[in-house]
Amino acid sequence: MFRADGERRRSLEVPLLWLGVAAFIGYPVLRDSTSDRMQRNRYGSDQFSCECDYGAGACRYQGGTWVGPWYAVDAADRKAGDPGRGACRTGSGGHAGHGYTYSGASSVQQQAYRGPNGVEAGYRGGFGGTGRVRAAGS
Amino acid sequence: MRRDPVPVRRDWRDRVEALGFDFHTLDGPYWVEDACYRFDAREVDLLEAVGGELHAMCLDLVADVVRDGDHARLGLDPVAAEWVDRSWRAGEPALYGRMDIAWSGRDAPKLLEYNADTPTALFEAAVVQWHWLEDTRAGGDQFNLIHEALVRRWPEVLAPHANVHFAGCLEAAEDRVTIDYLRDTCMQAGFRTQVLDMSGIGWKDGRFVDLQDEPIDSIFKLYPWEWMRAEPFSAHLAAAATRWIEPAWKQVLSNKSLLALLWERHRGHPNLLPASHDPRDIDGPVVAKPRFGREGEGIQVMERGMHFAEHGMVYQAHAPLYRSDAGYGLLGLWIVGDQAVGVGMREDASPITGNASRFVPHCFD
Repeated sequence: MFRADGERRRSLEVPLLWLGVAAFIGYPVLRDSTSDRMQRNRYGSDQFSCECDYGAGACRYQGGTWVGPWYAVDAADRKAGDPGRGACRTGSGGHAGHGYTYSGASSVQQQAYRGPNGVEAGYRGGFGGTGRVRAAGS
Repeated sequence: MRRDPVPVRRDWRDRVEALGFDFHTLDGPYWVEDACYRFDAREVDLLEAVGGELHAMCLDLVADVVRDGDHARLGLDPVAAEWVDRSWRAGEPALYGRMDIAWSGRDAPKLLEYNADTPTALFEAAVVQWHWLEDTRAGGDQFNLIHEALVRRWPEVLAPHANVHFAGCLEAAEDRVTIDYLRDTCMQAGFRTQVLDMSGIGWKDGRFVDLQDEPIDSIFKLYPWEWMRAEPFSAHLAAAATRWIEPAWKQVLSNKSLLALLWERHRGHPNLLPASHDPRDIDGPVVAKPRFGREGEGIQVMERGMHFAEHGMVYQAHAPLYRSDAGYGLLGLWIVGDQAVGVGMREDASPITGNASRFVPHCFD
Protein backbone atom coordinates (compact mmCIF):
# COMPACT_ATOMS: atom_id res chain seq x y z
CA MET A 1 0.00 0.00 0.00
CA PHE A 2 2.87 2.38 0.72
CA ARG A 3 4.10 4.08 -2.36
CA ALA A 4 7.50 4.97 -3.66
CA ASP A 5 8.66 8.44 -2.82
CA GLY A 6 7.96 11.06 -5.41
CA GLU A 7 4.75 9.59 -6.78
CA ARG A 8 2.12 12.22 -7.40
CA ARG A 9 -0.84 12.07 -5.02
CA ARG A 10 -3.03 14.76 -6.46
CA SER A 11 -4.85 15.04 -9.73
CA LEU A 12 -2.72 15.99 -12.68
CA GLU A 13 -5.33 18.51 -13.70
CA VAL A 14 -8.85 19.40 -12.66
CA PRO A 15 -10.62 20.71 -15.75
CA LEU A 16 -14.23 21.80 -15.42
CA LEU A 17 -16.59 21.78 -18.36
CA TRP A 18 -19.03 24.05 -16.61
CA LEU A 19 -16.68 27.02 -16.72
CA GLY A 20 -17.48 27.30 -20.40
CA VAL A 21 -21.17 26.60 -20.36
CA ALA A 22 -22.62 28.59 -17.45
CA ALA A 23 -23.78 25.44 -15.75
CA PHE A 24 -25.17 27.20 -12.72
CA ILE A 25 -28.14 28.80 -14.33
CA GLY A 26 -31.16 27.82 -16.29
CA TYR A 27 -32.04 24.48 -14.77
CA PRO A 28 -35.68 23.55 -14.95
CA VAL A 29 -36.73 23.42 -11.34
CA LEU A 30 -40.27 22.33 -10.70
CA ARG A 31 -40.79 24.33 -7.56
CA ASP A 32 -44.46 23.86 -7.10
CA SER A 33 -44.87 20.18 -6.65
CA THR A 34 -42.78 18.39 -4.01
CA SER A 35 -44.96 15.90 -2.25
CA ASP A 36 -48.23 17.72 -2.84
CA ARG A 37 -50.78 15.89 -4.94
CA MET A 38 -50.61 17.12 -8.50
CA GLN A 39 -52.81 16.87 -11.55
CA ARG A 40 -53.22 18.39 -14.97
CA ASN A 41 -56.19 18.93 -17.19
CA ARG A 42 -56.76 16.97 -20.36
CA TYR A 43 -58.66 18.58 -23.21
CA GLY A 44 -58.81 15.97 -25.99
CA SER A 45 -58.69 17.83 -29.29
CA ASP A 46 -59.94 21.05 -27.67
CA GLN A 47 -56.86 23.22 -27.95
CA PHE A 48 -58.99 26.29 -27.55
CA SER A 49 -60.12 25.46 -24.04
CA CYS A 50 -56.64 24.53 -22.94
CA GLU A 51 -55.22 27.80 -24.17
CA CYS A 52 -58.08 29.71 -22.65
CA ASP A 53 -57.18 28.20 -19.30
CA TYR A 54 -53.41 28.51 -19.50
CA GLY A 55 -52.27 30.35 -22.60
CA ALA A 56 -50.67 28.85 -25.67
CA GLY A 57 -47.22 28.46 -24.16
CA ALA A 58 -48.37 26.22 -21.36
CA CYS A 59 -50.38 23.72 -23.40
CA ARG A 60 -48.87 20.66 -25.03
CA TYR A 61 -50.21 18.11 -27.46
CA GLN A 62 -49.17 14.82 -26.01
CA GLY A 63 -50.37 11.30 -26.56
CA GLY A 64 -53.29 12.38 -28.72
CA THR A 65 -54.67 15.00 -26.36
CA TRP A 66 -54.05 18.57 -25.36
CA VAL A 67 -52.85 18.83 -21.78
CA GLY A 68 -52.30 21.77 -19.49
CA PRO A 69 -49.50 22.23 -16.95
CA TRP A 70 -49.33 20.47 -13.60
CA TYR A 71 -50.93 22.13 -10.61
CA ALA A 72 -51.48 21.27 -6.99
CA VAL A 73 -54.84 19.63 -6.35
CA ASP A 74 -55.26 21.33 -3.01
CA ALA A 75 -55.31 25.10 -3.36
CA ALA A 76 -53.60 25.38 0.00
CA ASP A 77 -50.56 23.59 -1.45
CA ARG A 78 -50.16 25.98 -4.36
CA LYS A 79 -46.94 27.94 -4.48
CA ALA A 80 -46.05 31.02 -6.48
CA GLY A 81 -46.14 30.08 -10.11
CA ASP A 82 -48.65 27.31 -9.72
CA PRO A 83 -50.91 27.64 -12.80
CA GLY A 84 -53.97 26.50 -10.91
CA ARG A 85 -57.03 24.77 -12.28
CA GLY A 86 -57.38 27.05 -15.27
CA ALA A 87 -58.29 30.69 -15.68
CA CYS A 88 -61.38 30.19 -17.80
CA ARG A 89 -62.50 27.20 -15.82
CA THR A 90 -62.46 29.10 -12.58
CA GLY A 91 -63.85 32.26 -13.98
CA SER A 92 -60.80 34.24 -13.11
CA GLY A 93 -60.30 35.79 -16.49
CA GLY A 94 -58.83 33.74 -19.26
CA HIS A 95 -55.84 34.52 -21.37
CA ALA A 96 -56.84 37.69 -23.07
CA GLY A 97 -53.62 37.84 -25.00
CA HIS A 98 -54.92 34.99 -27.04
CA GLY A 99 -58.30 36.56 -27.57
CA TYR A 100 -60.19 34.34 -25.22
CA THR A 101 -62.80 35.29 -22.74
CA TYR A 102 -64.59 33.41 -20.04
CA SER A 103 -67.86 33.85 -21.88
CA GLY A 104 -66.70 31.13 -24.17
CA ALA A 105 -66.66 33.31 -27.22
CA SER A 106 -63.28 33.66 -28.82
CA SER A 107 -62.71 36.80 -30.75
CA VAL A 108 -60.32 34.83 -32.92
CA GLN A 109 -61.92 31.49 -33.47
CA GLN A 110 -65.47 31.99 -32.25
CA GLN A 111 -65.21 28.76 -30.31
CA ALA A 112 -66.91 27.94 -27.08
CA TYR A 113 -64.97 27.19 -23.97
CA ARG A 114 -65.90 23.69 -22.96
CA GLY A 115 -63.35 23.02 -20.30
CA PRO A 116 -61.27 19.92 -19.72
CA ASN A 117 -62.73 16.52 -20.46
CA GLY A 118 -60.74 14.94 -17.67
CA VAL A 119 -57.82 15.28 -15.36
CA GLU A 120 -54.69 13.23 -15.12
CA ALA A 121 -53.62 12.28 -11.64
CA GLY A 122 -50.29 13.71 -10.64
CA TYR A 123 -47.26 11.84 -11.81
CA ARG A 124 -44.74 14.31 -10.49
CA GLY A 125 -43.96 15.51 -7.03
CA GLY A 126 -43.70 12.16 -5.32
CA PHE A 127 -40.12 12.84 -4.30
CA GLY A 128 -38.56 15.96 -2.87
CA GLY A 129 -40.90 16.86 -0.05
CA THR A 130 -38.46 16.21 2.78
CA GLY A 131 -35.77 18.21 1.03
CA ARG A 132 -37.85 21.35 1.36
CA VAL A 133 -37.25 21.48 5.08
CA ARG A 134 -33.95 19.66 5.60
CA ALA A 135 -30.48 19.60 4.05
CA ALA A 136 -29.88 16.50 1.95
CA GLY A 137 -26.10 16.50 2.09
CA SER A 138 -23.99 14.98 4.81
CA MET B 1 -0.33 16.47 10.91
CA ARG B 2 -0.30 20.05 12.05
CA ARG B 3 -2.17 23.25 11.35
CA ASP B 4 0.11 25.89 9.86
CA PRO B 5 -0.64 29.55 9.21
CA VAL B 6 -0.10 30.44 5.53
CA PRO B 7 -0.51 33.65 3.50
CA VAL B 8 -3.93 34.28 2.03
CA ARG B 9 -4.17 34.84 -1.71
CA ARG B 10 -4.94 38.52 -2.16
CA ASP B 11 -7.68 37.74 -4.67
CA TRP B 12 -8.88 34.51 -3.08
CA ARG B 13 -12.52 35.47 -3.28
CA ASP B 14 -12.39 36.14 -7.01
CA ARG B 15 -10.39 33.01 -7.59
CA VAL B 16 -12.75 30.65 -5.82
CA GLU B 17 -15.80 32.32 -7.30
CA ALA B 18 -14.30 31.91 -10.77
CA LEU B 19 -14.42 28.17 -10.12
CA GLY B 20 -18.11 28.37 -9.34
CA PHE B 21 -17.63 28.15 -5.57
CA ASP B 22 -20.15 30.74 -4.46
CA PHE B 23 -20.82 29.65 -0.88
CA HIS B 24 -17.35 30.37 0.48
CA THR B 25 -18.97 32.55 3.12
CA LEU B 26 -22.07 31.46 4.99
CA ASP B 27 -23.05 33.07 8.30
CA GLY B 28 -19.29 33.24 8.80
CA PRO B 29 -16.32 32.13 6.73
CA TYR B 30 -16.73 28.66 5.23
CA TRP B 31 -13.64 28.54 3.03
CA VAL B 32 -10.59 29.43 5.16
CA GLU B 33 -7.12 29.70 3.68
CA ASP B 34 -5.12 31.61 6.25
CA ALA B 35 -4.01 28.20 7.46
CA CYS B 36 -3.59 24.73 6.09
CA TYR B 37 -3.29 21.25 7.51
CA ARG B 38 0.11 19.86 6.71
CA PHE B 39 0.79 16.13 6.58
CA ASP B 40 3.86 14.11 5.74
CA ALA B 41 3.92 11.39 3.11
CA ARG B 42 3.84 8.59 5.65
CA GLU B 43 0.67 9.98 7.22
CA VAL B 44 -0.96 10.14 3.81
CA ASP B 45 0.01 6.54 3.14
CA LEU B 46 -1.50 5.58 6.48
CA LEU B 47 -4.76 7.35 5.73
CA GLU B 48 -4.98 5.74 2.33
CA ALA B 49 -4.46 2.31 3.84
CA VAL B 50 -6.94 2.93 6.66
CA GLY B 51 -9.60 4.16 4.25
CA GLY B 52 -9.23 1.13 2.01
CA GLU B 53 -9.36 -1.30 4.91
CA LEU B 54 -12.38 0.32 6.57
CA HIS B 55 -14.24 0.42 3.30
CA ALA B 56 -13.55 -3.28 2.70
CA MET B 57 -14.83 -4.06 6.20
CA CYS B 58 -17.97 -2.09 5.41
CA LEU B 59 -18.60 -4.06 2.22
CA ASP B 60 -18.16 -7.31 4.12
CA LEU B 61 -20.71 -6.09 6.60
CA VAL B 62 -23.25 -5.34 3.86
CA ALA B 63 -22.74 -8.86 2.51
CA ASP B 64 -23.36 -10.27 5.99
CA VAL B 65 -26.49 -8.19 6.53
CA VAL B 66 -27.93 -9.33 3.20
CA ARG B 67 -26.98 -12.95 3.80
CA ASP B 68 -28.36 -13.04 7.36
CA GLY B 69 -31.35 -10.76 6.87
CA ASP B 70 -30.10 -8.64 9.74
CA HIS B 71 -31.73 -5.41 8.54
CA ALA B 72 -33.87 -4.67 11.58
CA ARG B 73 -30.88 -3.71 13.69
CA LEU B 74 -30.18 -0.99 11.14
CA GLY B 75 -33.71 0.34 11.45
CA LEU B 76 -34.54 -0.80 7.93
CA ASP B 77 -38.12 -1.93 7.41
CA PRO B 78 -38.92 -4.89 5.14
CA VAL B 79 -39.39 -2.67 2.10
CA ALA B 80 -36.04 -0.95 2.56
CA ALA B 81 -34.47 -4.32 3.27
CA GLU B 82 -35.74 -5.61 -0.04
CA TRP B 83 -34.18 -2.66 -1.89
CA VAL B 84 -30.89 -3.22 -0.09
CA ASP B 85 -30.84 -6.90 -0.92
CA ARG B 86 -31.86 -6.46 -4.50
CA SER B 87 -29.28 -3.78 -5.27
CA TRP B 88 -26.54 -5.70 -3.49
CA ARG B 89 -27.32 -8.99 -5.20
CA ALA B 90 -27.46 -7.22 -8.54
CA GLY B 91 -23.93 -6.01 -7.89
CA GLU B 92 -24.81 -2.35 -8.36
CA PRO B 93 -21.54 -0.47 -7.97
CA ALA B 94 -21.19 2.57 -5.75
CA LEU B 95 -19.66 5.86 -6.78
CA TYR B 96 -18.28 7.61 -3.74
CA GLY B 97 -18.43 8.33 -0.03
CA ARG B 98 -16.70 10.22 2.75
CA MET B 99 -15.52 8.79 6.02
CA ASP B 100 -15.34 11.21 8.91
CA ILE B 101 -12.22 10.46 10.89
CA ALA B 102 -11.01 11.64 14.27
CA TRP B 103 -7.26 11.90 14.26
CA SER B 104 -4.84 13.79 16.38
CA GLY B 105 -1.99 12.90 14.04
CA ARG B 106 -0.44 10.69 16.72
CA ASP B 107 -2.76 7.83 17.63
CA ALA B 108 -4.56 5.63 15.14
CA PRO B 109 -7.23 7.36 13.02
CA LYS B 110 -10.72 6.49 14.24
CA LEU B 111 -13.87 6.17 12.12
CA LEU B 112 -16.62 8.45 13.40
CA GLU B 113 -19.13 7.76 10.62
CA TYR B 114 -19.39 6.96 6.96
CA ASN B 115 -21.30 9.46 4.83
CA ALA B 116 -21.85 6.94 2.10
CA ASP B 117 -25.15 8.03 0.59
CA THR B 118 -25.16 11.80 0.07
CA PRO B 119 -21.74 13.22 0.94
CA THR B 120 -21.13 16.88 0.20
CA ALA B 121 -18.10 19.20 0.59
CA LEU B 122 -16.85 17.33 -2.46
CA PHE B 123 -16.21 20.26 -4.75
CA GLU B 124 -14.15 22.03 -2.11
CA ALA B 125 -12.05 18.93 -1.60
CA ALA B 126 -11.61 17.91 -5.23
CA VAL B 127 -11.32 21.28 -6.96
CA VAL B 128 -11.05 24.36 -4.75
CA GLN B 129 -8.22 23.13 -2.53
CA TRP B 130 -6.44 21.70 -5.58
CA HIS B 131 -6.38 25.15 -7.18
CA TRP B 132 -5.34 26.67 -3.84
CA LEU B 133 -2.22 24.51 -3.85
CA GLU B 134 -1.53 25.25 -7.50
CA ASP B 135 -1.65 28.97 -6.72
CA THR B 136 0.16 29.03 -3.39
CA ARG B 137 2.62 26.15 -3.60
CA ALA B 138 2.23 25.97 0.16
CA GLY B 139 3.29 22.34 0.08
CA GLY B 140 4.80 19.85 -2.28
CA ASP B 141 1.70 17.77 -2.87
CA GLN B 142 -1.84 17.10 -1.70
CA PHE B 143 -3.75 13.88 -1.09
CA ASN B 144 -6.33 14.59 -3.72
CA LEU B 145 -6.90 12.23 -6.60
CA ILE B 146 -10.64 12.73 -6.24
CA HIS B 147 -11.27 14.29 -9.62
CA GLU B 148 -9.35 11.73 -11.60
CA ALA B 149 -10.87 8.90 -9.64
CA LEU B 150 -14.41 10.13 -10.26
CA VAL B 151 -13.87 10.45 -14.00
CA ARG B 152 -12.40 6.95 -14.03
CA ARG B 153 -15.17 5.51 -11.86
CA TRP B 154 -18.20 6.52 -13.89
CA PRO B 155 -17.67 3.95 -16.66
CA GLU B 156 -17.50 1.26 -13.97
CA VAL B 157 -20.80 2.44 -12.48
CA LEU B 158 -22.82 3.02 -15.65
CA ALA B 159 -23.78 1.03 -18.68
CA PRO B 160 -22.01 2.09 -21.88
CA HIS B 161 -23.62 5.13 -23.51
CA ALA B 162 -25.94 5.64 -20.53
CA ASN B 163 -27.97 8.82 -20.36
CA VAL B 164 -27.63 9.92 -16.75
CA HIS B 165 -29.97 12.16 -14.80
CA PHE B 166 -28.79 14.09 -11.76
CA ALA B 167 -31.32 15.07 -9.13
CA GLY B 168 -31.35 16.75 -5.76
CA CYS B 169 -32.57 19.83 -3.94
CA LEU B 170 -31.33 22.37 -6.45
CA GLU B 171 -32.33 25.34 -4.36
CA ALA B 172 -29.66 24.45 -1.79
CA ALA B 173 -26.35 25.94 -2.94
CA GLU B 174 -24.14 23.22 -1.53
CA ASP B 175 -26.24 20.43 -2.99
CA ARG B 176 -26.44 22.18 -6.33
CA VAL B 177 -22.68 22.59 -6.58
CA THR B 178 -22.10 18.96 -5.59
CA ILE B 179 -24.53 17.83 -8.27
CA ASP B 180 -23.04 20.17 -10.87
CA TYR B 181 -19.58 18.94 -10.12
CA LEU B 182 -20.43 15.26 -10.22
CA ARG B 183 -22.35 15.84 -13.41
CA ASP B 184 -19.29 17.53 -14.84
CA THR B 185 -17.09 14.53 -14.04
CA CYS B 186 -19.69 12.23 -15.59
CA MET B 187 -19.68 14.27 -18.78
CA GLN B 188 -15.91 14.16 -18.83
CA ALA B 189 -16.22 10.39 -18.66
CA GLY B 190 -18.20 10.56 -21.89
CA PHE B 191 -21.80 10.28 -20.74
CA ARG B 192 -24.85 12.35 -21.61
CA THR B 193 -26.34 14.05 -18.57
CA GLN B 194 -29.37 16.07 -17.52
CA VAL B 195 -30.31 17.64 -14.23
CA LEU B 196 -33.62 18.14 -12.48
CA ASP B 197 -34.97 18.79 -9.04
CA MET B 198 -36.08 15.75 -7.06
CA SER B 199 -39.61 17.11 -7.17
CA GLY B 200 -39.46 17.11 -10.97
CA ILE B 201 -39.19 13.34 -11.20
CA GLY B 202 -42.38 11.87 -12.59
CA TRP B 203 -43.95 8.43 -12.57
CA LYS B 204 -45.73 7.52 -15.76
CA ASP B 205 -46.62 4.28 -17.52
CA GLY B 206 -44.64 2.23 -15.04
CA ARG B 207 -41.46 4.27 -15.33
CA PHE B 208 -39.81 7.22 -13.68
CA VAL B 209 -39.66 10.07 -16.18
CA ASP B 210 -37.93 13.42 -16.44
CA LEU B 211 -39.42 16.82 -17.19
CA GLN B 212 -39.73 15.92 -20.86
CA ASP B 213 -41.45 12.66 -19.93
CA GLU B 214 -38.42 10.74 -21.13
CA PRO B 215 -37.67 7.62 -19.09
CA ILE B 216 -35.02 7.87 -16.41
CA ASP B 217 -32.79 4.84 -16.79
CA SER B 218 -29.91 5.92 -14.56
CA ILE B 219 -30.05 8.65 -11.98
CA PHE B 220 -27.61 10.05 -9.47
CA LYS B 221 -29.61 11.41 -6.54
CA LEU B 222 -28.18 13.63 -3.86
CA TYR B 223 -31.12 12.75 -1.70
CA PRO B 224 -31.05 10.31 1.21
CA TRP B 225 -32.61 6.91 0.79
CA GLU B 226 -34.42 7.26 4.10
CA TRP B 227 -36.17 10.36 2.83
CA MET B 228 -37.16 8.65 -0.41
CA ARG B 229 -38.49 5.80 1.67
CA ALA B 230 -40.90 8.16 3.42
CA GLU B 231 -42.20 9.85 0.27
CA PRO B 232 -45.09 8.88 -2.02
CA PHE B 233 -43.07 7.66 -4.99
CA SER B 234 -41.30 5.09 -2.86
CA ALA B 235 -44.26 2.88 -3.73
CA HIS B 236 -42.88 2.65 -7.27
CA LEU B 237 -39.26 1.88 -6.49
CA ALA B 238 -39.66 -1.86 -6.54
CA ALA B 239 -41.42 -1.85 -9.88
CA ALA B 240 -39.18 0.61 -11.70
CA ALA B 241 -36.19 -0.38 -13.77
CA THR B 242 -34.38 2.86 -12.91
CA ARG B 243 -30.86 2.44 -11.65
CA TRP B 244 -30.20 4.68 -8.64
CA ILE B 245 -26.79 6.02 -7.68
CA GLU B 246 -25.82 5.67 -4.88
CA PRO B 247 -27.36 2.21 -4.82
CA ALA B 248 -29.90 1.23 -2.17
CA TRP B 249 -27.42 -0.96 -0.30
CA LYS B 250 -25.62 2.23 0.75
CA GLN B 251 -28.37 2.55 3.37
CA VAL B 252 -26.39 0.08 5.41
CA LEU B 253 -23.28 2.25 5.40
CA SER B 254 -24.80 5.71 5.75
CA ASN B 255 -26.58 4.48 8.84
CA LYS B 256 -25.00 5.12 12.25
CA SER B 257 -25.90 1.58 13.31
CA LEU B 258 -23.06 0.60 11.00
CA LEU B 259 -20.71 1.69 13.78
CA ALA B 260 -22.20 -0.71 16.31
CA LEU B 261 -22.25 -3.60 13.86
CA LEU B 262 -18.67 -2.98 12.77
CA TRP B 263 -17.51 -2.93 16.39
CA GLU B 264 -19.26 -6.25 17.05
CA ARG B 265 -17.41 -7.86 14.17
CA HIS B 266 -14.05 -6.19 14.66
CA ARG B 267 -13.89 -5.50 18.37
CA GLY B 268 -10.59 -3.85 19.22
CA HIS B 269 -9.76 -2.81 15.67
CA PRO B 270 -7.40 0.16 15.92
CA ASN B 271 -9.44 2.32 13.55
CA LEU B 272 -12.82 1.71 15.18
CA LEU B 273 -14.30 3.12 18.36
CA PRO B 274 -16.43 1.10 20.75
CA ALA B 275 -20.02 1.53 19.58
CA SER B 276 -23.34 0.00 20.54
CA HIS B 277 -27.08 0.55 20.62
CA ASP B 278 -26.76 0.50 24.40
CA PRO B 279 -24.57 3.21 25.96
CA ARG B 280 -23.94 1.05 29.01
CA ASP B 281 -21.67 -1.06 26.82
CA ILE B 282 -19.27 1.86 26.54
CA ASP B 283 -16.92 3.10 29.23
CA GLY B 284 -16.22 6.78 29.68
CA PRO B 285 -17.61 9.69 27.66
CA VAL B 286 -20.16 8.69 25.05
CA VAL B 287 -21.36 10.37 21.88
CA ALA B 288 -25.03 9.77 21.13
CA LYS B 289 -25.91 9.85 17.42
CA PRO B 290 -29.30 9.51 15.72
CA ARG B 291 -29.22 6.55 13.39
CA PHE B 292 -30.22 8.69 10.41
CA GLY B 293 -28.84 12.05 11.51
CA ARG B 294 -27.14 14.32 9.01
CA GLU B 295 -24.69 17.22 9.23
CA GLY B 296 -24.15 16.72 12.96
CA GLU B 297 -27.84 17.13 13.82
CA GLY B 298 -28.94 15.51 17.05
CA ILE B 299 -25.43 14.52 18.14
CA GLN B 300 -24.71 14.89 21.84
CA VAL B 301 -21.51 14.40 23.79
CA MET B 302 -22.15 12.83 27.21
CA GLU B 303 -19.02 13.44 29.23
CA ARG B 304 -20.19 11.18 32.05
CA GLY B 305 -21.56 8.45 29.86
CA MET B 306 -25.20 7.40 29.65
CA HIS B 307 -27.21 4.88 31.62
CA PHE B 308 -30.19 4.27 29.37
CA ALA B 309 -30.71 3.63 25.67
CA GLU B 310 -33.02 5.61 23.44
CA HIS B 311 -34.71 4.11 20.41
CA GLY B 312 -33.08 5.00 17.13
CA MET B 313 -29.82 6.14 18.71
CA VAL B 314 -26.33 4.77 18.35
CA TYR B 315 -23.66 5.32 20.99
CA GLN B 316 -19.98 5.63 20.30
CA ALA B 317 -17.02 6.15 22.59
CA HIS B 318 -15.81 9.70 22.48
CA ALA B 319 -12.63 10.27 20.48
CA PRO B 320 -10.88 13.60 20.75
CA LEU B 321 -10.53 15.54 17.51
CA TYR B 322 -7.38 17.39 16.51
CA ARG B 323 -7.17 20.55 18.59
CA SER B 324 -5.61 23.89 17.69
CA ASP B 325 -6.20 27.54 18.54
CA ALA B 326 -8.77 27.51 15.73
CA GLY B 327 -10.82 24.78 17.35
CA TYR B 328 -11.48 21.17 16.44
CA GLY B 329 -10.31 19.60 13.18
CA LEU B 330 -12.17 16.74 11.51
CA LEU B 331 -10.66 14.73 8.70
CA GLY B 332 -12.89 13.74 5.78
CA LEU B 333 -11.46 10.79 3.90
CA TRP B 334 -12.87 10.49 0.40
CA ILE B 335 -13.56 7.08 -1.06
CA VAL B 336 -14.18 6.68 -4.78
CA GLY B 337 -15.01 3.16 -5.84
CA ASP B 338 -13.19 1.09 -3.26
CA GLN B 339 -10.17 3.29 -2.66
CA ALA B 340 -9.30 6.25 -0.48
CA VAL B 341 -8.37 9.03 -2.86
CA GLY B 342 -8.29 12.27 -0.94
CA VAL B 343 -8.75 14.34 2.17
CA GLY B 344 -10.86 17.36 3.09
CA MET B 345 -10.37 19.05 6.46
CA ARG B 346 -13.19 20.73 8.37
CA GLU B 347 -12.90 22.64 11.59
CA ASP B 348 -15.19 24.23 14.10
CA ALA B 349 -15.20 25.86 17.49
CA SER B 350 -17.51 23.03 18.52
CA PRO B 351 -16.43 19.39 18.72
CA ILE B 352 -19.51 18.58 16.62
CA THR B 353 -18.93 19.26 12.96
CA GLY B 354 -21.93 20.70 11.13
CA ASN B 355 -22.74 21.87 7.62
CA ALA B 356 -21.28 25.33 8.31
CA SER B 357 -18.01 24.08 9.77
CA ARG B 358 -15.08 25.68 8.01
CA PHE B 359 -13.24 23.98 5.16
CA VAL B 360 -9.46 24.34 5.40
CA PRO B 361 -7.11 23.16 2.62
CA HIS B 362 -4.33 20.68 3.19
CA CYS B 363 -1.03 19.67 1.71
CA PHE B 364 1.82 17.32 2.42
CA ASP B 365 5.55 17.37 1.97
